Amino acid sequence: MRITNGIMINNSLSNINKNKETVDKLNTQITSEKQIQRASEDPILAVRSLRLRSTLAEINQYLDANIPDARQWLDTTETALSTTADLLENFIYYCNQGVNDYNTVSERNTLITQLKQYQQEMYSTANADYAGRTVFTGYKTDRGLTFTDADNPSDLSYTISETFDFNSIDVVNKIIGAVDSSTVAETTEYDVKNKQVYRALLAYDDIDLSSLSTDNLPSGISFTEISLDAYGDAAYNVGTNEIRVIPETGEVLIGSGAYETLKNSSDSGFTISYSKTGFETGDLRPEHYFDCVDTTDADNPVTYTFSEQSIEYEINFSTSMSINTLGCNTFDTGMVRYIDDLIESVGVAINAQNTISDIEKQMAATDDEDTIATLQTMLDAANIELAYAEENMSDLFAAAITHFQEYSDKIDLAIADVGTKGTRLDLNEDRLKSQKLSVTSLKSQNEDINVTEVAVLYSQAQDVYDASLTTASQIVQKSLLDFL
Amino acid sequence: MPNSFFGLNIGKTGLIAASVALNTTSHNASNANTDGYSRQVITQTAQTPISMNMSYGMVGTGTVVTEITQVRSEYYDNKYWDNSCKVGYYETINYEMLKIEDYFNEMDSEGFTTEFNNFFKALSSLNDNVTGTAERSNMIGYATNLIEYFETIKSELLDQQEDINAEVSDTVDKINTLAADIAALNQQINTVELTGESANDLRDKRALLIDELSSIVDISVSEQTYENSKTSFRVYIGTDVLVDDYTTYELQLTSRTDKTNDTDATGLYDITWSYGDAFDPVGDNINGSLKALLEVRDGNNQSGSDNTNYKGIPYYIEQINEFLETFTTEFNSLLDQGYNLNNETTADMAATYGETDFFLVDSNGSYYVNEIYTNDPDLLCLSDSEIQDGVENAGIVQKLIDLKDAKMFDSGTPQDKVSKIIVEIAIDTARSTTMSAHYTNLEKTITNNRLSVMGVDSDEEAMNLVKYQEAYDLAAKVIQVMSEIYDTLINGLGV
Repeated sequence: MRITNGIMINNSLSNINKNKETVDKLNTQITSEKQIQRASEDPILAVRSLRLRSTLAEINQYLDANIPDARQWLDTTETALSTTADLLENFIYYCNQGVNDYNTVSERNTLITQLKQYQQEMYSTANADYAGRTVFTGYKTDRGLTFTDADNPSDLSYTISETFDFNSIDVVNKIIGAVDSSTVAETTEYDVKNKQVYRALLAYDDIDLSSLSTDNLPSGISFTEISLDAYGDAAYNVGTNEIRVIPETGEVLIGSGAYETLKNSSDSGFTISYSKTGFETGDLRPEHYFDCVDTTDADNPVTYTFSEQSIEYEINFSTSMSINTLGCNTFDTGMVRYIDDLIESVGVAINAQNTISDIEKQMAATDDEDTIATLQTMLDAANIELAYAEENMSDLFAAAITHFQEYSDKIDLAIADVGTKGTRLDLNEDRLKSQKLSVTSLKSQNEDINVTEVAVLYSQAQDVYDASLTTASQIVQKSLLDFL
Repeated sequence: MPNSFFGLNIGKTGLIAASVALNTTSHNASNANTDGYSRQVITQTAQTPISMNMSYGMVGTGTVVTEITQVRSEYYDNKYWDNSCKVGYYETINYEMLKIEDYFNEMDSEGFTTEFNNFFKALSSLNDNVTGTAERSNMIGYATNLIEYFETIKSELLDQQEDINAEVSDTVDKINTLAADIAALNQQINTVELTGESANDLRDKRALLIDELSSIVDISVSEQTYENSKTSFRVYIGTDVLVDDYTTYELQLTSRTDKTNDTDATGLYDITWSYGDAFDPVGDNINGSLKALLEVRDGNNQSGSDNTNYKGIPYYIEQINEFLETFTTEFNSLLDQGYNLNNETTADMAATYGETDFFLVDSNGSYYVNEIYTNDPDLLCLSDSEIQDGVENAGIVQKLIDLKDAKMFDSGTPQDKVSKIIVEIAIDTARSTTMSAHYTNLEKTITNNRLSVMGVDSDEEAMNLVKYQEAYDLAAKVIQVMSEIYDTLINGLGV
């Protein structure tokens, strides 16, 4: 083929250009440390790289944000629960030893004071919060589990529906016909009775009068409201097929026949609805426990439907974990109400003692034989009353120990649950950490260059480029004319 | 008896021939680097011998240069023009597709994947603290970034479409100008060649113009010679005639009044012949840079009249719009199911705020984030039950996070959809890069072959110079000798 100078120059130039392209490409690779600068250089590698970047970003979100956040929340919960668990242990120990050591009236008054202190401490950690959001209240993180001073609880009013079933009923003794030392009258020992009743406790005392209604009560059982102020002790004389509610103390008394009916009934339980106006600081908020309606503002009632609300955090791919513990499962309403019971029983014993000392004073103050004899009968009855009261107290404290042991178990369970969640977080964190390592290395394998390899290729390419420049310069300079 | 000056004449013919050859060689040498120049060679023949009626029969009468022709290979020329339109096509497509790929900027840090990931990270953090104003504002900020990423690309693509449109106009002007020049040259060539001469340099000029034209549109050339050495030269674009000897047919541009695609820029040009027929430069077998420009400008990946079966700018704008429409509709409809911190749903807010969708579209088809949420993040409806059931309810946020893996498109998740777009661009660009390199290589080989036939080789010309100079010297010597002979004959012998 006939070769002209033009052909040789063209060829030289195009080869020099090819070498330059190689040098340029390797240079860009070294300075950017990436294999490709644009997706078109290798589309499949590009798409794979983008997917890996996406995975890595998601892993980082779980590792750096979601898991640490969840862990903090769980720590707050655990601290609050341990404090309460310690408190309950303390209280049970106190119940065990305290009841027998306090005999005099003043000692028993001290007992009441101490019980009241425990009562106030029961819900002290219930309003624990993490970064301003309360941890025990499900989705309602803008308010505490209990009322605080800032809520002005004495102005609030709610209509509450509570559900009862067979298991919430226990057996208590109530003294009926306590001796009244202000009236001197002949009494026999049969006037003072220690009646055994079946009873359940509402979540609150001091309920509004005439606000009660019931739903889903098995047939054959009648429902009444009996005010303690109106009837006194006789309020506890519940009929066989009757259910009575005492608004002042929030007690639900169940007749023996009604009890049997409920025992044999296969229904889920009956509901009692009532309203309460005027709460106290430290009372549990009803919306966290029951279906209720906030009727404080009569024109705009707010309806709350109770449900177990779980706050879910995403801690791993397609894995979410509930991080919150519900107050309704850990801080039981009974923790305060049973102490009310205990305080009341101690009060009854104190009353009996006061009655006795009052009668004794009256006896010492008079010389009248008849009066003394009458007072003596009263004194005998009062002693029986005291015996009953002390027996009841003892029984109640023993029952309280059982109840509080149950509550303590519940809280221990909750603490164990939090511990398990923490372990689950740890496991996921470890898995994510090793996944992050492998994804990062995959991504690097995919996109990054091997610097030494490319450096060697680059120096090679430069040599080739230099050689091509040298030879090109020699070709274009000579022609036949140099030799003619 | 022959003419006494016979020998002198013979010498003279040699001298003339050698001097013509020297002139041709020097013409070649001076034009060694001229673009499109084909080397000229002389055809030298012995002159008709005459009969002397002597014992030695016919006698040669010297030499004559019958013609100076150009050495050119029509075969390689046609091969070059065939290849050139493919080179033009792929180079232009490559350039435009690289620009489109740059807008998406995917391999660098600020592409779609980064914006999308950041948005969903913000949503995940929002799930952890749904009442936090900072988290809400953050999410809104990243949503805005995501939308702006796409809107920026769309506006850049529209700008590119307008740029291409201007280039189409320039290209059509060029075609018309080149056609006019070719027709003028045709006339000059015919005028010269009617006298029997060969219009070498004019033909070179014309071939150069055709070289330029061939990279723009797919042309074919036909030249016919008639008996009176008139030639008829036609240039065709496909089956339509562009130049017919001295007449040219012009291409015209008309601005479109109706947009072929709703998202097109206004005033895109349609090309027609001035005599009214449609000009179809995008048929299956036609190439050239004009076709490339029109495909990128009009390509909406559909077949049928008014549509261009290539994935060009309209196609990508439509794909982006498809993504935005489906994604934002899903997002908006999830928010419609929720309650905000004031216990309102989007339906409740409509009375006060009018438009309550999170993502809105304006009359130009641009998407943006509703201002009411930027101003007051508490209005975001993120709880899936009424607010008294708890402010921490993040039910809607969880559903929004699930959107990342929701198969809302034919191609799958949102990530899949955008990956598909990017891969389509990447593959088309990679293909055009490869094909461009391939045809450029081919062009180089064909050019070399052309040069091999028509190129000037300085060594050859140097040799020719020496050769013809020797011939000239020899012819001059012959004249000198003949002159001495005549001197002896005339002056010495007195005849």
